[in-house]
Amino acid sequence: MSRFSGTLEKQYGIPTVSLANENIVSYGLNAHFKYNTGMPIRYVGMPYPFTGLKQDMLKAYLEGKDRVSGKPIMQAIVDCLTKPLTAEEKRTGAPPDAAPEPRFLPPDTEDNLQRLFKDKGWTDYNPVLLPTAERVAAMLKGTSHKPDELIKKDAGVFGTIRPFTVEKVAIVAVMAGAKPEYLPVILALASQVPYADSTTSNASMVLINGPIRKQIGMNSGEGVLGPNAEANSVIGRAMNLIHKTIQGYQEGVTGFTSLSNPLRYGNATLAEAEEELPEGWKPVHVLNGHKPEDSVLTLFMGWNFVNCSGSVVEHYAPQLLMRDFTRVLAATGAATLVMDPSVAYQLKNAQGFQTKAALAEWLSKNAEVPAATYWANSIASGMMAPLGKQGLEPYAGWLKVPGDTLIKHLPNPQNIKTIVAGGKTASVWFITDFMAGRGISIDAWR
Amino acid sequence: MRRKTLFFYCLLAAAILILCGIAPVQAQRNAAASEGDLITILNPAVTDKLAERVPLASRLDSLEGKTIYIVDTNYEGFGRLPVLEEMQAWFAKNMPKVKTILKLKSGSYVADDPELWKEIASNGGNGVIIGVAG
Repeated sequence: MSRFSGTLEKQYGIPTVSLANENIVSYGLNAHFKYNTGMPIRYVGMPYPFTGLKQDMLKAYLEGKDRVSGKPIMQAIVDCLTKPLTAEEKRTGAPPDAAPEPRFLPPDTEDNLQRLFKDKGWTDYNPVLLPTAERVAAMLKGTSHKPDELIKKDAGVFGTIRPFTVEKVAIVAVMAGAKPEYLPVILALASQVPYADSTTSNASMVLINGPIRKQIGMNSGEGVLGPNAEANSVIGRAMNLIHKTIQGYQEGVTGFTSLSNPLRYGNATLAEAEEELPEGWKPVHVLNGHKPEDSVLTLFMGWNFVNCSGSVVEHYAPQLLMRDFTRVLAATGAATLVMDPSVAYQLKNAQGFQTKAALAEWLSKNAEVPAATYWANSIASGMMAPLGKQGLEPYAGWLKVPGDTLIKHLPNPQNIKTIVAGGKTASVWFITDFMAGRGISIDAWR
Repeated sequence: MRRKTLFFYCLLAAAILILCGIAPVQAQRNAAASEGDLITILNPAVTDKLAERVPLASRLDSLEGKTIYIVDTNYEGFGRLPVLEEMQAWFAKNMPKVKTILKLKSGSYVADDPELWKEIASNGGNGVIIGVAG
Protein backbone atom coordinates (compact mmCIF):
# COMPACT_ATOMS: atom_id res chain seq x y z
CA MET A 1 0.00 0.00 0.00
CA SER A 2 2.89 2.37 0.76
CA ARG A 3 3.96 1.87 -2.86
CA PHE A 4 0.65 3.29 -4.08
CA SER A 5 0.81 6.26 -1.70
CA GLY A 6 4.40 6.80 -2.77
CA THR A 7 3.44 7.00 -6.44
CA LEU A 8 0.60 9.44 -5.80
CA GLU A 9 2.70 11.67 -3.54
CA LYS A 10 5.92 11.65 -5.55
CA GLN A 11 4.79 11.28 -9.16
CA TYR A 12 1.52 13.23 -9.04
CA GLY A 13 2.02 15.53 -6.05
CA ILE A 14 -1.26 14.37 -4.50
CA PRO A 15 -1.41 14.17 -0.69
CA THR A 16 -2.50 10.82 0.66
CA VAL A 17 -3.37 9.11 3.90
CA SER A 18 -2.97 5.34 4.25
CA LEU A 19 -5.29 3.27 6.41
CA ALA A 20 -4.01 0.10 8.00
CA ASN A 21 -4.20 -1.88 11.19
CA GLU A 22 -1.86 -0.73 13.91
CA ASN A 23 0.83 -3.38 13.35
CA ILE A 24 1.16 -2.50 9.68
CA VAL A 25 1.19 1.17 10.62
CA SER A 26 3.99 0.54 13.09
CA TYR A 27 6.00 -1.22 10.39
CA GLY A 28 5.22 1.52 7.85
CA LEU A 29 6.29 4.31 10.17
CA ASN A 30 9.46 2.60 11.31
CA ALA A 31 11.40 -0.15 9.51
CA HIS A 32 9.64 0.25 6.15
CA PHE A 33 10.15 4.01 6.12
CA LYS A 34 13.78 3.86 7.28
CA TYR A 35 15.04 1.09 5.05
CA ASN A 36 12.59 0.76 2.18
CA THR A 37 10.56 3.78 1.08
CA GLY A 38 12.37 6.71 2.68
CA MET A 39 9.01 8.50 2.54
CA PRO A 40 7.32 9.43 5.84
CA ILE A 41 3.86 8.42 4.65
CA ARG A 42 1.04 9.57 6.88
CA TYR A 43 -0.94 6.69 8.32
CA VAL A 44 -4.10 6.33 10.31
CA GLY A 45 -4.22 3.23 12.47
CA MET A 46 -7.55 1.44 12.15
CA PRO A 47 -9.03 -1.18 14.45
CA TYR A 48 -8.93 -4.76 13.17
CA PRO A 49 -10.62 -6.71 11.58
CA PHE A 50 -12.04 -4.73 8.67
CA THR A 51 -14.40 -7.36 7.38
CA GLY A 52 -17.46 -9.29 8.44
CA LEU A 53 -18.77 -6.47 10.63
CA LYS A 54 -22.24 -5.05 10.99
CA GLN A 55 -23.07 -1.47 10.02
CA ASP A 56 -23.24 -0.18 13.59
CA MET A 57 -19.83 -1.69 14.31
CA LEU A 58 -18.36 0.07 11.28
CA LYS A 59 -19.80 3.37 12.48
CA ALA A 60 -18.24 2.74 15.87
CA TYR A 61 -14.91 2.12 14.12
CA LEU A 62 -14.99 5.55 12.54
CA GLU A 63 -15.93 7.13 15.84
CA GLY A 64 -12.97 5.41 17.48
CA LYS A 65 -9.42 6.70 17.93
CA ASP A 66 -6.60 6.68 15.42
CA ARG A 67 -3.90 4.34 16.77
CA VAL A 68 -1.20 6.81 15.66
CA SER A 69 -2.35 10.24 16.80
CA GLY A 70 -4.98 9.28 19.33
CA LYS A 71 -7.47 11.60 17.61
CA PRO A 72 -10.88 10.48 16.35
CA ILE A 73 -10.24 8.53 13.14
CA MET A 74 -12.05 10.88 10.74
CA GLN A 75 -10.39 13.93 12.28
CA ALA A 76 -7.02 12.20 11.92
CA ILE A 77 -7.72 11.49 8.25
CA VAL A 78 -8.61 15.13 7.58
CA ASP A 79 -5.50 16.26 9.45
CA CYS A 80 -3.24 13.94 7.45
CA LEU A 81 -4.44 15.59 4.26
CA THR A 82 -4.34 19.19 5.54
CA LYS A 83 -1.74 19.67 8.28
CA PRO A 84 1.36 21.38 6.82
CA LEU A 85 4.43 19.26 6.35
CA THR A 86 7.04 19.21 9.05
CA ALA A 87 10.72 19.77 8.24
CA GLU A 88 11.22 16.04 8.62
CA GLU A 89 8.51 15.32 6.06
CA LYS A 90 10.16 17.67 3.56
CA ARG A 91 13.61 16.15 3.89
CA THR A 92 15.33 14.85 0.76
CA GLY A 93 18.56 13.09 -0.11
CA ALA A 94 20.54 10.12 1.08
CA PRO A 95 20.98 9.90 4.84
CA PRO A 96 24.50 9.21 6.08
CA ASP A 97 25.35 5.54 5.99
CA ALA A 98 24.92 3.76 9.28
CA ALA A 99 28.21 2.81 10.92
CA PRO A 100 29.11 -0.62 9.58
CA GLU A 101 28.77 -3.46 12.05
CA PRO A 102 32.24 -4.30 13.46
CA ARG A 103 33.60 -7.71 12.48
CA PHE A 104 34.16 -8.65 16.13
CA LEU A 105 32.04 -8.00 19.20
CA PRO A 106 33.67 -6.50 22.30
CA PRO A 107 35.17 -9.28 24.49
CA ASP A 108 32.80 -10.53 27.17
CA THR A 109 31.93 -13.60 29.18
CA GLU A 110 30.07 -16.57 27.72
CA ASP A 111 26.98 -15.81 29.80
CA ASN A 112 26.92 -12.14 28.83
CA LEU A 113 27.36 -12.94 25.15
CA GLN A 114 24.60 -15.55 25.24
CA ARG A 115 22.39 -12.89 26.82
CA LEU A 116 23.44 -10.31 24.25
CA PHE A 117 22.55 -12.63 21.36
CA LYS A 118 19.10 -13.18 22.83
CA ASP A 119 18.58 -9.49 23.57
CA LYS A 120 19.55 -8.57 20.01
CA GLY A 121 17.09 -11.10 18.61
CA TRP A 122 19.81 -13.11 16.86
CA THR A 123 18.75 -16.49 18.24
CA ASP A 124 15.79 -18.82 18.55
CA TYR A 125 16.18 -18.35 22.33
CA ASN A 126 17.97 -21.65 22.74
CA PRO A 127 21.69 -21.35 23.55
CA VAL A 128 23.89 -20.97 20.49
CA LEU A 129 27.50 -21.99 19.96
CA LEU A 130 29.38 -18.71 20.14
CA PRO A 131 31.17 -17.91 16.85
CA THR A 132 34.80 -17.63 17.89
CA ALA A 133 37.34 -16.92 15.17
CA GLU A 134 38.60 -20.52 15.45
CA ARG A 135 35.14 -22.03 15.07
CA VAL A 136 34.24 -19.79 12.13
CA ALA A 137 37.56 -20.57 10.42
CA ALA A 138 36.90 -24.28 10.87
CA MET A 139 33.37 -23.84 9.48
CA LEU A 140 34.71 -22.01 6.43
CA LYS A 141 36.70 -25.13 5.54
CA GLY A 142 33.34 -26.54 4.43
CA THR A 143 33.33 -24.36 1.31
CA SER A 144 35.79 -23.20 -1.33
CA HIS A 145 34.17 -19.77 -1.35
CA LYS A 146 36.11 -16.86 0.13
CA PRO A 147 34.82 -15.48 3.46
CA ASP A 148 34.39 -11.98 2.05
CA GLU A 149 32.40 -13.09 -1.00
CA LEU A 150 29.15 -11.15 -1.22
CA ILE A 151 26.19 -13.50 -1.47
CA LYS A 152 23.36 -11.01 -1.80
CA LYS A 153 22.67 -7.33 -1.24
CA ASP A 154 18.90 -7.15 -0.94
CA ALA A 155 18.50 -9.64 1.88
CA GLY A 156 16.12 -7.68 4.08
CA VAL A 157 12.34 -7.82 4.43
CA PHE A 158 10.77 -6.68 1.12
CA GLY A 159 14.28 -6.63 -0.38
CA THR A 160 15.80 -3.87 1.74
CA ILE A 161 19.57 -3.54 1.45
CA ARG A 162 21.35 -5.83 3.90
CA PRO A 163 24.45 -7.12 2.10
CA PHE A 164 25.95 -10.29 3.57
CA THR A 165 28.98 -12.44 2.92
CA VAL A 166 29.99 -16.08 3.14
CA GLU A 167 31.57 -15.33 6.53
CA LYS A 168 28.24 -14.11 7.94
CA VAL A 169 26.63 -17.39 6.93
CA ALA A 170 29.50 -19.35 8.47
CA ILE A 171 28.92 -17.42 11.71
CA VAL A 172 25.27 -18.44 11.67
CA ALA A 173 26.21 -22.03 10.87
CA VAL A 174 28.46 -22.11 13.94
CA MET A 175 25.69 -20.62 16.07
CA ALA A 176 23.26 -23.31 14.87
CA GLY A 177 25.70 -26.09 15.77
CA ALA A 178 26.50 -27.11 12.20
CA LYS A 179 29.39 -29.23 11.04
CA PRO A 180 31.60 -27.72 8.30
CA GLU A 181 30.24 -30.25 5.80
CA TYR A 182 26.75 -28.74 6.24
CA LEU A 183 27.96 -25.33 5.14
CA PRO A 184 27.25 -25.69 1.38
CA VAL A 185 23.63 -26.52 2.22
CA ILE A 186 23.38 -23.57 4.60
CA LEU A 187 24.95 -21.24 2.04
CA ALA A 188 22.44 -22.40 -0.58
CA LEU A 189 19.68 -21.78 1.95
CA ALA A 190 21.03 -18.32 2.76
CA SER A 191 21.11 -17.40 -0.92
CA GLN A 192 17.30 -17.62 -0.93
CA VAL A 193 16.61 -14.77 1.53
CA PRO A 194 14.37 -12.93 2.04
CA TYR A 195 12.15 -15.81 3.04
CA ALA A 196 8.40 -15.45 2.68
CA ASP A 197 6.69 -13.84 5.66
CA SER A 198 3.06 -13.02 6.15
CA THR A 199 0.65 -11.85 8.81
CA THR A 200 -0.99 -15.23 8.16
CA SER A 201 0.53 -18.56 9.20
CA ASN A 202 2.80 -19.55 6.36
CA ALA A 203 5.86 -21.74 6.78
CA SER A 204 8.70 -23.22 4.78
CA MET A 205 9.85 -26.72 3.99
CA VAL A 206 13.46 -27.51 3.03
CA LEU A 207 14.09 -30.55 0.82
CA ILE A 208 17.55 -31.89 0.05
CA ASN A 209 18.17 -34.21 -2.89
CA GLY A 210 21.26 -35.76 -4.39
CA PRO A 211 24.51 -37.20 -3.04
CA ILE A 212 25.00 -34.62 -0.29
CA ARG A 213 22.18 -36.24 1.67
CA LYS A 214 24.38 -39.24 2.41
CA GLN A 215 27.61 -37.25 2.64
CA ILE A 216 26.35 -35.16 5.54
CA GLY A 217 24.16 -37.81 7.12
CA MET A 218 20.76 -36.32 6.44
CA ASN A 219 17.82 -38.40 7.50
CA SER A 220 15.35 -39.50 4.85
CA GLY A 221 14.05 -42.49 6.78
CA GLU A 222 12.57 -43.17 10.17
CA GLY A 223 11.52 -40.00 11.98
CA VAL A 224 12.43 -37.87 8.98
CA LEU A 225 10.18 -34.95 9.90
CA GLY A 226 10.87 -35.16 13.63
CA PRO A 227 13.51 -33.48 15.77
CA ASN A 228 15.82 -36.49 16.15
CA ALA A 229 18.22 -36.24 13.22
CA GLU A 230 21.28 -34.05 13.60
CA ALA A 231 21.77 -32.67 10.09
CA ASN A 232 18.04 -32.11 9.50
CA SER A 233 17.61 -30.36 12.87
CA VAL A 234 20.68 -28.17 12.58
CA ILE A 235 20.02 -27.07 8.98
CA GLY A 236 16.41 -26.31 9.86
CA ARG A 237 17.59 -24.28 12.83
CA ALA A 238 20.16 -22.47 10.69
CA MET A 239 17.33 -21.27 8.47
CA ASN A 240 15.69 -19.58 11.45
CA LEU A 241 18.95 -17.95 12.51
CA ILE A 242 19.53 -16.72 8.93
CA HIS A 243 16.00 -15.31 8.99
CA LYS A 244 16.79 -13.38 12.15
CA THR A 245 20.39 -12.25 11.68
CA ILE A 246 20.76 -11.89 7.91
CA GLN A 247 17.22 -11.04 6.86
CA GLY A 248 16.70 -9.06 10.05
CA TYR A 249 13.31 -10.48 10.96
CA GLN A 250 12.06 -9.28 14.32
CA GLU A 251 8.58 -10.10 15.47
CA GLY A 252 6.59 -6.90 15.92
CA VAL A 253 9.26 -4.79 14.19
CA THR A 254 9.86 -6.12 10.70
CA GLY A 255 7.23 -8.86 10.70
CA PHE A 256 3.78 -9.32 12.12
CA THR A 257 2.37 -12.81 12.05
CA SER A 258 -0.68 -13.41 14.20
CA LEU A 259 -0.21 -17.08 15.10
CA SER A 260 2.90 -17.96 13.10
CA ASN A 261 3.28 -21.68 12.47
CA PRO A 262 4.86 -24.47 14.56
CA LEU A 263 6.50 -25.81 11.39
CA ARG A 264 8.84 -22.84 11.63
CA TYR A 265 10.71 -24.46 14.53
CA GLY A 266 12.50 -26.86 12.19
CA ASN A 267 11.20 -25.72 8.80
CA ALA A 268 10.27 -29.34 7.95
CA THR A 269 13.83 -30.00 6.80
CA LEU A 270 14.16 -33.40 5.16
CA ALA A 271 15.94 -35.42 2.53
CA GLU A 272 14.12 -37.48 -0.05
CA ALA A 273 14.52 -41.25 0.25
CA GLU A 274 15.63 -41.52 -3.37
CA GLU A 275 16.74 -45.13 -2.93
CA GLU A 276 13.22 -46.06 -1.84
CA LEU A 277 11.42 -44.58 -4.82
CA PRO A 278 9.43 -47.13 -6.81
CA GLU A 279 10.73 -47.73 -10.30
CA GLY A 280 9.57 -44.93 -12.58
CA TRP A 281 9.18 -42.45 -9.71
CA LYS A 282 11.91 -39.84 -10.01
CA PRO A 283 13.36 -37.63 -7.26
CA VAL A 284 12.00 -34.10 -6.93
CA HIS A 285 15.20 -32.45 -8.16
CA VAL A 286 15.33 -34.62 -11.29
CA LEU A 287 11.71 -33.73 -12.10
CA ASN A 288 12.76 -30.09 -11.78
CA GLY A 289 15.42 -30.53 -14.45
CA HIS A 290 18.50 -31.28 -12.36
CA LYS A 291 20.72 -34.31 -12.86
CA PRO A 292 20.45 -37.24 -10.42
CA GLU A 293 24.06 -36.66 -9.34
CA ASP A 294 23.40 -33.00 -8.54
CA SER A 295 22.89 -32.00 -4.93
CA VAL A 296 19.92 -29.66 -4.82
CA LEU A 297 17.98 -27.70 -2.22
CA THR A 298 14.32 -27.09 -2.94
CA LEU A 299 12.50 -24.54 -0.83
CA PHE A 300 8.75 -24.91 -0.43
CA MET A 301 6.30 -22.39 1.03
CA GLY A 302 2.77 -22.93 2.19
CA TRP A 303 0.29 -22.89 5.04
CA ASN A 304 -1.16 -26.33 5.76
CA PHE A 305 0.51 -29.61 6.58
CA VAL A 306 -2.30 -32.13 6.90
CA ASN A 307 -1.63 -35.47 8.52
CA CYS A 308 -3.41 -38.61 7.25
CA SER A 309 -3.32 -39.76 10.91
CA GLY A 310 -3.43 -43.56 10.69
CA SER A 311 -2.01 -45.94 8.12
CA VAL A 312 -3.49 -46.63 4.71
CA VAL A 313 -6.51 -48.91 5.00
CA GLU A 314 -7.66 -51.78 2.85
CA HIS A 315 -11.13 -50.39 2.04
CA TYR A 316 -10.20 -46.86 0.93
CA ALA A 317 -7.31 -46.31 -1.47
CA PRO A 318 -4.74 -43.71 -0.35
CA GLN A 319 -5.28 -41.41 -3.32
CA LEU A 320 -8.99 -41.12 -2.41
CA LEU A 321 -8.21 -39.83 1.07
CA MET A 322 -5.52 -37.53 -0.38
CA ARG A 323 -8.17 -36.15 -2.73
CA ASP A 324 -10.61 -35.63 0.15
CA PHE A 325 -8.02 -33.92 2.32
CA THR A 326 -7.15 -31.36 -0.37
CA ARG A 327 -10.33 -29.55 0.64
CA VAL A 328 -8.68 -27.88 3.59
CA LEU A 329 -5.65 -26.63 1.70
CA ALA A 330 -4.96 -22.94 1.24
CA ALA A 331 -6.38 -22.64 -2.26
CA THR A 332 -3.08 -21.74 -3.85
CA GLY A 333 -3.62 -24.31 -6.60
CA ALA A 334 -0.56 -26.17 -5.34
CA ALA A 335 -0.14 -29.32 -3.30
CA THR A 336 2.85 -31.26 -2.06
CA LEU A 337 2.58 -34.78 -0.74
CA VAL A 338 5.12 -36.21 1.66
CA MET A 339 4.65 -39.98 1.79
CA ASP A 340 6.29 -42.98 3.33
CA PRO A 341 7.95 -45.32 0.80
CA SER A 342 5.32 -47.95 1.65
CA VAL A 343 2.57 -45.58 0.44
CA ALA A 344 4.49 -44.90 -2.77
CA TYR A 345 4.82 -48.68 -3.20
CA GLN A 346 1.06 -49.14 -2.81
CA LEU A 347 0.23 -46.29 -5.15
CA LYS A 348 2.55 -47.67 -7.79
CA ASN A 349 1.88 -51.37 -7.48
CA ALA A 350 -1.66 -51.62 -6.15
CA GLN A 351 -3.20 -48.46 -7.61
CA GLY A 352 -1.27 -48.28 -10.87
CA PHE A 353 0.36 -44.85 -10.63
CA GLN A 354 3.48 -45.53 -12.66
CA THR A 355 4.98 -42.09 -12.02
CA LYS A 356 4.63 -39.16 -9.65
CA ALA A 357 3.17 -37.26 -12.61
CA ALA A 358 0.40 -39.84 -13.00
CA LEU A 359 -0.63 -39.31 -9.38
CA ALA A 360 -0.52 -35.54 -9.89
CA GLU A 361 -2.73 -35.86 -12.99
CA TRP A 362 -5.25 -37.95 -11.10
CA LEU A 363 -5.41 -35.55 -8.17
CA SER A 364 -5.75 -32.59 -10.49
CA LYS A 365 -8.72 -34.23 -12.20
CA ASN A 366 -10.41 -35.51 -9.07
CA ALA A 367 -9.72 -33.07 -6.24
CA GLU A 368 -12.79 -30.86 -5.78
CA VAL A 369 -14.01 -28.28 -3.35
CA PRO A 370 -17.24 -26.24 -3.19
CA ALA A 371 -16.71 -22.84 -4.81
CA ALA A 372 -17.89 -21.08 -1.65
CA THR A 373 -15.30 -22.92 0.45
CA TYR A 374 -12.61 -22.05 -2.06
CA TRP A 375 -13.47 -18.35 -2.12
CA ALA A 376 -13.87 -18.20 1.66
CA ASN A 377 -10.12 -18.52 1.91
CA SER A 378 -8.58 -15.05 1.76
CA ILE A 379 -5.45 -16.39 0.05
CA ALA A 380 -7.74 -17.31 -2.85
CA SER A 381 -10.07 -14.34 -2.66
CA GLY A 382 -7.31 -11.78 -2.23
CA MET A 383 -5.05 -13.06 -4.97
CA MET A 384 -7.19 -15.12 -7.39
CA ALA A 385 -10.56 -13.31 -7.37
CA PRO A 386 -9.06 -10.14 -8.91
CA LEU A 387 -7.55 -12.31 -11.64
CA GLY A 388 -10.95 -13.90 -12.22
CA LYS A 389 -12.55 -10.47 -12.46
CA GLN A 390 -10.03 -9.62 -15.15
CA GLY A 391 -11.28 -12.68 -17.08
CA LEU A 392 -8.50 -15.12 -16.29
CA GLU A 393 -9.68 -18.73 -16.26
CA PRO A 394 -10.36 -20.87 -14.35
CA TYR A 395 -10.95 -18.16 -11.72
CA ALA A 396 -13.43 -16.20 -13.89
CA GLY A 397 -15.59 -19.30 -14.24
CA TRP A 398 -15.31 -20.17 -10.56
CA LEU A 399 -16.58 -16.70 -9.64
CA LYS A 400 -19.75 -17.26 -11.67
CA VAL A 401 -20.88 -20.63 -10.32
CA PRO A 402 -23.18 -21.12 -7.29
CA GLY A 403 -21.31 -21.59 -4.01
CA ASP A 404 -22.14 -25.28 -3.72
CA THR A 405 -20.72 -26.12 -7.16
CA LEU A 406 -17.69 -28.36 -6.93
CA ILE A 407 -14.66 -26.89 -8.64
CA LYS A 408 -11.40 -28.64 -9.49
CA HIS A 409 -9.12 -26.48 -7.43
CA LEU A 410 -5.78 -28.02 -8.39
CA PRO A 411 -6.02 -27.26 -12.10
CA ASN A 412 -2.35 -27.62 -12.97
CA PRO A 413 -0.78 -31.03 -12.22
CA GLN A 414 2.65 -29.44 -12.56
CA ASN A 415 1.95 -27.74 -9.24
CA ILE A 416 1.39 -31.05 -7.44
CA LYS A 417 4.64 -32.50 -6.09
CA THR A 418 5.42 -35.73 -4.30
CA ILE A 419 8.28 -36.31 -1.86
CA VAL A 420 9.00 -39.85 -0.71
CA ALA A 421 10.57 -40.15 2.74
CA GLY A 422 10.01 -42.09 5.94
CA GLY A 423 10.92 -45.24 7.80
CA LYS A 424 8.37 -47.78 6.47
CA THR A 425 7.07 -48.35 9.95
CA ALA A 426 3.60 -47.10 8.98
CA SER A 427 1.93 -46.32 5.64
CA VAL A 428 1.46 -42.65 6.42
CA TRP A 429 1.50 -39.41 4.48
CA PHE A 430 0.98 -35.69 4.71
CA ILE A 431 -0.77 -33.54 2.14
CA THR A 432 0.22 -29.90 2.11
CA ASP A 433 -0.53 -26.79 0.10
CA PHE A 434 3.19 -26.08 -0.17
CA MET A 435 4.42 -24.56 -3.41
CA ALA A 436 7.78 -25.73 -4.66
CA GLY A 437 10.66 -23.67 -5.95
CA ARG A 438 12.71 -24.92 -8.90
CA GLY A 439 15.57 -26.10 -6.73
CA ILE A 440 19.01 -24.55 -6.41
CA SER A 441 22.44 -26.09 -6.61
CA ILE A 442 24.19 -27.01 -3.38
CA ASP A 443 27.26 -28.07 -5.36
CA ALA A 444 27.80 -24.44 -6.37
CA TRP A 445 28.46 -23.71 -2.70
CA ARG A 446 30.89 -26.54 -1.99
CA MET B 1 37.07 -15.80 82.68
CA ARG B 2 39.34 -12.85 81.77
CA ARG B 3 41.76 -15.32 80.19
CA LYS B 4 38.91 -16.84 78.14
CA THR B 5 37.83 -13.38 76.95
CA LEU B 6 41.39 -12.54 75.98
CA PHE B 7 41.68 -15.82 74.07
CA PHE B 8 38.43 -15.08 72.20
CA TYR B 9 39.64 -11.63 71.15
CA CYS B 10 42.98 -13.08 70.03
CA LEU B 11 41.15 -15.60 67.88
CA LEU B 12 38.92 -12.86 66.46
CA ALA B 13 41.92 -10.67 65.64
CA ALA B 14 43.69 -13.58 64.01
CA ALA B 15 40.60 -14.35 61.96
CA ILE B 16 40.33 -10.74 60.81
CA LEU B 17 44.00 -10.66 59.88
CA ILE B 18 43.71 -13.91 57.96
CA LEU B 19 40.56 -12.77 56.19
CA CYS B 20 42.07 -9.39 55.35
CA GLY B 21 45.01 -11.15 53.84
CA ILE B 22 43.05 -13.74 51.99
CA ALA B 23 40.29 -11.50 50.60
CA PRO B 24 42.56 -9.38 48.35
CA VAL B 25 44.25 -12.53 47.10
CA GLN B 26 40.85 -14.03 46.31
CA ALA B 27 39.74 -10.83 44.56
CA GLN B 28 42.90 -10.87 42.50
CA ARG B 29 42.23 -14.49 41.59
CA ASN B 30 38.62 -13.69 40.61
CA ALA B 31 39.71 -10.77 38.48
CA ALA B 32 42.31 -12.92 36.77
CA ALA B 33 39.70 -15.63 36.19
CA SER B 34 37.22 -13.09 34.73
CA GLU B 35 39.76 -11.73 32.32
CA GLY B 36 40.68 -15.24 31.32
CA ASP B 37 36.99 -16.05 30.71
CA LEU B 38 36.43 -13.18 28.32
CA ILE B 39 35.72 -14.38 24.80
CA THR B 40 36.15 -12.53 21.55
CA ILE B 41 33.70 -13.63 18.89
CA LEU B 42 32.57 -12.61 15.44
CA ASN B 43 29.54 -10.41 15.03
CA PRO B 44 26.55 -11.99 13.29
CA ALA B 45 24.83 -8.64 12.67
CA VAL B 46 24.37 -7.35 9.14
CA THR B 47 24.47 -3.63 8.37
CA ASP B 48 21.23 -2.11 7.09
CA LYS B 49 21.31 0.65 4.51
CA LEU B 50 18.97 3.57 5.11
CA ALA B 51 16.69 4.49 2.21
CA GLU B 52 17.07 7.80 0.40
CA ARG B 53 14.59 10.29 1.79
CA VAL B 54 11.60 11.24 -0.37
CA PRO B 55 9.45 14.20 0.71
CA LEU B 56 5.68 14.13 0.91
CA ALA B 57 3.51 16.19 -1.42
CA SER B 58 2.30 19.54 -0.08
CA ARG B 59 -0.87 19.29 1.97
CA LEU B 60 -4.20 20.99 1.22
CA ASP B 61 -5.28 24.21 2.97
CA SER B 62 -8.60 22.57 3.71
CA LEU B 63 -10.86 19.90 2.23
CA GLU B 64 -13.69 22.35 1.50
CA GLY B 65 -14.59 22.18 -2.19
CA LYS B 66 -11.94 19.56 -2.86
CA THR B 67 -12.23 16.17 -4.54
CA ILE B 68 -11.01 13.35 -2.37
CA TYR B 69 -10.70 9.85 -3.76
CA ILE B 70 -11.22 6.96 -1.39
CA VAL B 71 -9.32 4.06 -2.92
CA ASP B 72 -10.06 0.50 -1.89
CA THR B 73 -6.92 -1.61 -2.31
CA ASN B 74 -9.11 -4.67 -2.92
CA TYR B 75 -7.78 -6.26 0.23
CA GLU B 76 -10.33 -9.07 0.16
CA GLY B 77 -10.45 -9.42 -3.60
CA PHE B 78 -14.22 -9.14 -3.73
CA GLY B 79 -14.72 -5.44 -4.05
CA ARG B 80 -15.43 -2.46 -1.91
CA LEU B 81 -15.06 -2.76 1.80
CA PRO B 82 -18.09 -1.52 3.76
CA VAL B 83 -15.83 0.43 6.11
CA LEU B 84 -14.77 2.67 3.22
CA GLU B 85 -18.38 3.12 2.12
CA GLU B 86 -19.14 4.15 5.66
CA MET B 87 -16.29 6.63 5.46
CA GLN B 88 -17.78 8.15 2.33
CA ALA B 89 -21.13 8.43 4.11
CA TRP B 90 -19.39 10.23 6.99
CA PHE B 91 -18.04 12.87 4.61
CA ALA B 92 -21.47 13.34 3.02
CA LYS B 93 -22.97 13.95 6.43
CA ASN B 94 -20.22 15.87 8.23
CA MET B 95 -18.31 17.63 5.45
CA PRO B 96 -20.82 17.92 2.60
CA LYS B 97 -18.66 20.37 0.66
CA VAL B 98 -16.07 17.68 0.14
CA LYS B 99 -16.65 15.65 -3.01
CA THR B 100 -15.67 12.03 -2.44
CA ILE B 101 -15.24 9.38 -5.11
CA LEU B 102 -14.91 5.76 -4.06
CA LYS B 103 -12.75 3.67 -6.39
CA LEU B 104 -11.75 0.04 -6.35
CA LYS B 105 -8.15 -0.59 -7.33
CA SER B 106 -7.87 -3.33 -9.92
CA GLY B 107 -5.88 -6.49 -9.31
CA SER B 108 -5.02 -7.99 -5.97
CA TYR B 109 -4.14 -5.80 -3.00
CA VAL B 110 -0.45 -6.05 -3.84
CA ALA B 111 -0.83 -5.29 -7.57
CA ASP B 112 -0.10 -1.78 -8.82
CA ASP B 113 -2.78 0.13 -10.78
CA PRO B 114 -1.01 2.90 -12.70
CA GLU B 115 -4.14 3.62 -14.76
CA LEU B 116 -6.07 4.51 -11.62
CA TRP B 117 -3.36 6.86 -10.36
CA LYS B 118 -3.35 8.58 -13.75
CA GLU B 119 -7.14 8.81 -13.72
CA ILE B 120 -7.17 10.38 -10.25
CA ALA B 121 -4.58 12.97 -11.29
CA SER B 122 -6.22 13.82 -14.62
CA ASN B 123 -9.69 14.08 -13.06
CA GLY B 124 -8.55 16.67 -10.55
CA GLY B 125 -8.21 14.49 -7.49
CA ASN B 126 -6.89 16.74 -4.70
CA GLY B 127 -6.25 14.07 -2.13
CA VAL B 128 -6.46 10.31 -1.67
CA ILE B 129 -7.49 8.15 1.26
CA ILE B 130 -6.16 4.69 0.55
CA GLY B 131 -6.85 1.53 2.49
CA VAL B 132 -6.81 -0.94 3.88
CA ALA B 133 -3.91 -3.18 4.78
CA GLY B 134 -4.17 -5.67 7.57
